[in-house]
This record gives sequence, structure tokens and C-alpha cells, in this order.
Amino acid sequence: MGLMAKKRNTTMRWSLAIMLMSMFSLVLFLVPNGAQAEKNAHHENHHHDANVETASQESHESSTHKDHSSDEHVAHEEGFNAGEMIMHHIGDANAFHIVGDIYIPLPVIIYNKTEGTWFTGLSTEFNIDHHGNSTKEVEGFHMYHGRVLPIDEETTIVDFSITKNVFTMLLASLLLIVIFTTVAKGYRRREGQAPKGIQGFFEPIILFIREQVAKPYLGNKTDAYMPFLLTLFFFIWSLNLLGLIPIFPGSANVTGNIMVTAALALIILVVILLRANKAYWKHILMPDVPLLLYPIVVPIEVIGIFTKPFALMVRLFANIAAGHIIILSLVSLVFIFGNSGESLSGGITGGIVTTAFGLFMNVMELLVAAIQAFIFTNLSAVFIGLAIEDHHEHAEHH
Amino acid sequence: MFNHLIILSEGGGSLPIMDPNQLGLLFWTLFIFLVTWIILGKVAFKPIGKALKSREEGIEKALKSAEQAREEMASLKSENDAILKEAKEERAAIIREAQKVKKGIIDEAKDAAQEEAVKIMQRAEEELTIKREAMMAELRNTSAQLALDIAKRVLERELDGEANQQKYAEDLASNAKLN
Repeated sequence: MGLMAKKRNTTMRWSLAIMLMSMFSLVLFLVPNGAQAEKNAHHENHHHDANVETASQESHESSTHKDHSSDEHVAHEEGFNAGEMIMHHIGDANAFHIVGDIYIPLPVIIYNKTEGTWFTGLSTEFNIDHHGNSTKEVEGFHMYHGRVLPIDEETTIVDFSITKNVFTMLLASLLLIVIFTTVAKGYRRREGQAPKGIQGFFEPIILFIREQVAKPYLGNKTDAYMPFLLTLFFFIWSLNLLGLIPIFPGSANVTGNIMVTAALALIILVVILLRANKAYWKHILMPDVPLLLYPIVVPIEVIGIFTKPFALMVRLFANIAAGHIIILSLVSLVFIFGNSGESLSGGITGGIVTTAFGLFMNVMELLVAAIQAFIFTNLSAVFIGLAIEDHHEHAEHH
Repeated sequence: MFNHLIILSEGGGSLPIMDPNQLGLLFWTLFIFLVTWIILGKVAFKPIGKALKSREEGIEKALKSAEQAREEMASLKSENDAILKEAKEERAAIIREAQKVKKGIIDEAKDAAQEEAVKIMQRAEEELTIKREAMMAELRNTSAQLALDIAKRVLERELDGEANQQKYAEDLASNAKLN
């Protein structure tokens, strides 16, 4: 009897779960229509509170899945191309896409290398459509897939715009400054006392970085590198986490962009080269090997200077970009299974698969966000430690 | 370097996350990270590190002083115990002494009292003797007087006649002879 009841209970729970997933996939299908309905509602019932409320609810719903609204249009026109959609979404953009043709404007600052002139403006000046393409040209520039590009393809530019990624970095930086000023205030206010609140949340992490990441490699020089390592860790972590939020102000694939990780790796390379001691240079230029092997060993060691930060750069970039690509691929399943909106049952199946796997991947990415930030910081500490290590001490260790 | 990566990954096509035209993003990342580093280092991580260090030192110091206090307490306790023991011994000694003194006093008093009592008794005996003797003397006197009176009266009565007088004289004489 008890077993039967338990079985029935389990069955009920499963059917409930499947029902919820089906509902989610239905919502995915209704998004474009919903967005349309919202616009109509907005135009026709300006003073109708109830309608506006439903519309805004719907807009929230649809903004969560903004990715799909535009892609379905793509699908209608030329069939759904998951690869293109994914590449579009993990790339940087000059405007923050919310839903349909609604964008949050971002400043555009472009240096025209060919002509040696600067172009500045707001990205919304381009009258962006739901594909991220401009419907208006401004001073020889147009927008293509969210990027402001010169119309003349021969023109070379450097884009110094506050792009989606730059905006997210500024946001992360601001968040970190606000959070850690508060934490530092806690230490000032309760000097010598036990941590409290947000201070209590971050203290174990700070101590973890100090005791597990920095101290084993930096030894008694740990304190000098703590601000750098902590900034590095929290900067990467916060950017990874912001990237997992599917709506504004998150969703930007910052640490999954090789330019960002290249910049971070460059900083680490500079720190290593500036702080490296005599033993480090001797190890590279005059290693303890027979002279005959110098033509092989020295080039390898010299290359080794650069491979370390290079590995850091690629590791972080690849991990985060891969995470975004996997989640976007899973979302694409809805459209692939649903045959771009033609097949409802396929869409429902896709919705179930997407929801289950997407949830799993998102939770996984939450873990990856912390792990990658930790690994980046940890290896930075290792590389700095190698460069500043006292050689005699090193000899004694082995 | 990045061009090679792009070729590797895309076969010559452009991957938006590896676009070499995005040097602006590199610049902004460097700029934002360095500014964040400087600001966070100054306002947060250096003070936090210092506070953590000073707190750790404080805790270590507190632990050490607690240990010291514990040791001091232990030594103080043993000292206290010693003092207590000493005090107890002293108390016992004082009590013993007092008992001795008490006994001594009592004994002395007893002795004195006995002596006094003996003295009193002696005096009383002496007085009694004196009084008895006086009484005896008085009794003798009185009885002698009485006897004399009686004898006088007897004599007056017996020696009324001639014959009686004669007889008496003879008696006296015989008694005297006997003596």
C-alpha cells in the first residue's frame, strides 16, 4: 500500500514537472506574438492599467528570452541557423539588446584609422532593427549584427566604444568597489571583532585566496600581491556571474572574449616581468645545462615566458565561451525540434530537453564561474611565485 | 597571434569573440582592470588585509595571554593552597597551644584552690581546736564551779553534825592515803 502511494506520488511529481516544462516551451513560442501584443496593447490602451500590466509582464517574460524573438524572424526568412545565432550572442555589441527592436543605447567611440578621424555618438542613432542591423547610416557607419562598422569595407577602424562588454566590466568594477568598500567599512567599524553580514561572506573567500592561493607560492611576499590577486579573482568571478544572468545588465560574454582575457594575461605578463628576480632571468638565459643544449633550451625557456600567460588567456576564454555556447545550443534545440515554429509537439519536446539540460548547464556554469576565476588567480600566483622565488630556497626544496 | 587562432577555429571566417578589430576592448579591459585594482587596493584590500592581520595578531596575543593567565591562576591556586595549608596548621597549633594553656590554667587553679582549701581547712581546724579548748576550759571551770557548789551544798548538808564532820575527815584521810 505504502509503496503504491509512493509510486503514485512520484508519478504525479513527474507529470507536474513535464507539464511545467511544456508550459515553458509554449511560452517560448508565444514570445514573438507576446511582444507584438505588448506593442499593440501599448498603442491602443495607453490608460488601461490592467492591459499595461499584462503587457509589462509579458515584456518581462519575453525579455528573458530575448534571444529567441529575433532568431525566429531569422528562421522565418532563411531557416534557423543555430551557429549564426550563437556567434551573434557570444560576441560583443555596440548596443544592449532587450527585446525585438528595443535596445539600450551605448556610447560609440570609433577611431577611423584610414582617415585618422574620430566618430562618436549613441548606438541608437542607427535605428537598430531586431536583427541588430541599422536601418539608418550615420557618417559612413552602419550597424551589422550589433556592431558599428564602416560601410566602406576598405576602411580600418579601432572601436573604443563602451560596448556591451565594456559596460559590463564597468558595472562589475563599480559593484566590486561598492561591495568591498562596505566590507572594508565593516573592518573599520568592528575593529578586532568577528565579521558580520557581507563582511562575513567575503572574509572566508579572502582568507581562502590568501592561504590556499597566494601563500603556498608567494610565501612571505604574499601581502604585497594580495590586492592584485584579490582584484583579479573578484573581477573575473563577478564578470563570469554577470554573464550568466540572461537579461540586462547581465548576459554579456565578457570573460569568454579573447580580447578581455588577453588583456588580463598581458597584465600578468607585465607583473611577472617587472617583479622577476635575477634567478628567474638566469634560469631562462643561463640554465644549468651543458652549453651544447643552449640553442634548444634557451629558446624554449624564452617561449615559456609567453606561453604561461597565453595558457591563462586561452583557458579562461575557452571555458566561459564554451559555457555560453552550450547553453545557447540547448536553447536552439527548441527551434530545431520545433522546426522553426512549424511543429508544436517538436517545440514542446525541445522545450523539455532545453529546460532540463539548460538548468543543469546553468548550475554547472555557476560552478565553472567560480572555478575558472580561482584557477586563473591560482596560476597567476604560481607564475608570479616562480618569477620572484629565491633560487637558494628552490634548491633546498628539491 | 589572434589571426592564427581565428584561422584555426573558423577556417578563415570571423569569430566575433576573436575579432582582431576589437583592440578597443583590450584597451578598455586594461584600463578598467587597472583602475579597479588601484581603487580596490587603496580603499578595500589593503585596509582589509591590515585589519585581518591585526585581528589575527590580536587573537594570537589574546590566546597567549589567556594561556599565561591560566598558568598564573594555577600557580596562584597552588600558592593559595599552600597558604591555606599553612593557615590550617597554624590554626591547629594555636588550638593545641590554647588547649595546653587552658589545661595549665585549670590545673593551676585546681592546685591553688586545693591549697587554699587545705589552708582554710587547717585554719578552720586550728580555730576549732582553739574554740574547743576554750570551751573545754570554760566547761572545766563551770563544771568545777558546779562541783564546788554541789560540794559546798553537800558539805553544808553532811557536815551539819559532829559525827558527819568526823566521818568526812576520815574519808578524806583515807582517800589521801590511797592517793
